[in-house]
Amino acid sequence: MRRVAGPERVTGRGPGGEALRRFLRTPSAVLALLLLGVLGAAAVAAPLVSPYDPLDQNMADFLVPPGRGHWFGTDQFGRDILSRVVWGGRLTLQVGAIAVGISGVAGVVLGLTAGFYGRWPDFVIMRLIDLLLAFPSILLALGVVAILGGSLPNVMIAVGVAGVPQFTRLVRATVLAVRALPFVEAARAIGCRDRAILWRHILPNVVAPALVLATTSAAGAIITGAALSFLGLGVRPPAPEWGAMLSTGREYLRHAPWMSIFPGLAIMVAVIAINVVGDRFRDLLDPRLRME
Amino acid sequence: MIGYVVRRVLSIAPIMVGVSFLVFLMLHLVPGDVAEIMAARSQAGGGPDAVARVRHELGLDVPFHEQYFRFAARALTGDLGRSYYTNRPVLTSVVEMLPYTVRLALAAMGITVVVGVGLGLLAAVYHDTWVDRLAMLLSLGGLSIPIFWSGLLLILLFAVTLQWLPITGGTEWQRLVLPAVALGYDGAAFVARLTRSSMLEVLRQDYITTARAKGLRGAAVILRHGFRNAMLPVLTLAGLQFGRLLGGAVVAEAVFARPGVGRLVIDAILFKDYLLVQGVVLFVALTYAVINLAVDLLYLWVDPRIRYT
Repeated sequence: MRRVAGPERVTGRGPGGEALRRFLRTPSAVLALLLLGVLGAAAVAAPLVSPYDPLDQNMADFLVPPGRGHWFGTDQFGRDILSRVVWGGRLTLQVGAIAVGISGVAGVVLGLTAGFYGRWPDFVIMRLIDLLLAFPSILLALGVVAILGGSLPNVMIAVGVAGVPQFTRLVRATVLAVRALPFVEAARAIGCRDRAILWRHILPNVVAPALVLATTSAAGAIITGAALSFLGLGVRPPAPEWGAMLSTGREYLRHAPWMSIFPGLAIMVAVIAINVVGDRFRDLLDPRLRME
Repeated sequence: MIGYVVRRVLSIAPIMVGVSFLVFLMLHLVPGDVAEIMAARSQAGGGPDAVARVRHELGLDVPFHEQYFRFAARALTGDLGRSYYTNRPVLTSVVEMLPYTVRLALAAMGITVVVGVGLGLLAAVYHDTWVDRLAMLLSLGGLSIPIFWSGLLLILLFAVTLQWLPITGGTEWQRLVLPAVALGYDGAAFVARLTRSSMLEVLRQDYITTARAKGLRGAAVILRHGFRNAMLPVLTLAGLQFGRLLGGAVVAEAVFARPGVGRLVIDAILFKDYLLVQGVVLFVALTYAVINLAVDLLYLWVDPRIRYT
């Protein structure tokens, strides 16, 4: 699926370089990527950039409105909300990333197996996927949490499992399309083994669409993960997770709305940024849209 | 066509069997001894006798396949077991909470369709203008603002600041408005995007040009010739949205402290009331399957071109 020759061939750029250049030409996508970078960097460098310890209680300073000293205000135990939002990014973004990783790896393995080997493996895997799709995804995540119990790793698993069907179906469909192409037939004709064809010829073609799906699913995974913590089934207080912070903030909505506003704002900014980057990413990699 | 309807109705049978098996499996996947956990939660306490009694009542002392057949047979007659925590039949609890969730889901669905289709239509008709961009920005908001935050913001604005609606108490309608708006807006985003792209595609068709060439007014072309044809994919999505809505209701009920099936399942999970969790999950999954079936069959009626044989 090489691109048709265009001006970029004249400049000697590869398709990757061209995609990047087009991406950089969209201001909203660049801004979104920058925002994601800032959130990610803040989460990674939380110990360095957060002004206070996120768990440090200071009862003399409880429910202080946003202002000097505490830009985002403090909570019912006098903990600095800004520091908690910064540290919370670690947990919330991690849940999103690892959950998508779980769905992606499981989906690619299942989709490759089903699409490439066909027959009974395909039948068994796809019936299983149909079954998982019979549950609304949050119900599936709730079911997994109900079985395993609520904790950070279990939330990742629950959200990850709920995303497996989408990846499996996408990868299987891609494999079915790719394995019918002449280069696969050629590889078979020169005596390549199944495993070599799968790894060297089919897998590389699956990576791009799977990455696009991973980006767009990350937004949903962050929301579902935070929702589970909001419901009290995920990360537990006092850990500063955005969803869990909102759940506490709900009780103080009348007197300390900042406790709910800032963690929610953080989730929204992260999710909007991922959605914008993901949309642009898909537009660039989806050949049907590229024709327009 | 009748053949298709019959086949489609029968096709959900294997799904239902599979779903019931997965739900049945839940009890066996719980780490530790379920009978012990549940006996400890029951009013009788967790002594060895109580554990043995719970194990017997749950049927955990018979072979695995027999357990499933018993479970399925009982579920078919509407017997989903009895909660060890509340000591009430699971089905009674679900049926009691159902009207609240159904009201919320229907109200939210109404908002999803009206707002989503409206925004999408405006965006398509005023393609590439500020109207289009504003509509798509609103839809991006719906995609990116989780219900548990939009819900809190709505409470903050309309109940705390403006005091248009009571925070607690009030009539059922007053209590329904904010959750329905939060939940409906969440789904409207998808519907708006799809309506827009579907409309844009339809408006490019030759028969639209023909209609305009005949001298039909803009509104007639857009509504009678464009809209009706653009609605097919939107209908499918609206059906799929219903599943999202059921899931979203779980969160909305928690945000707005509303009773409902969602609240029931969350409390059941928190109290490790496994039979209740099992019952609700089975109930919701089966409802979801039936709704998807209904949407499929609705197609036959909406699109006269479809004649399944």
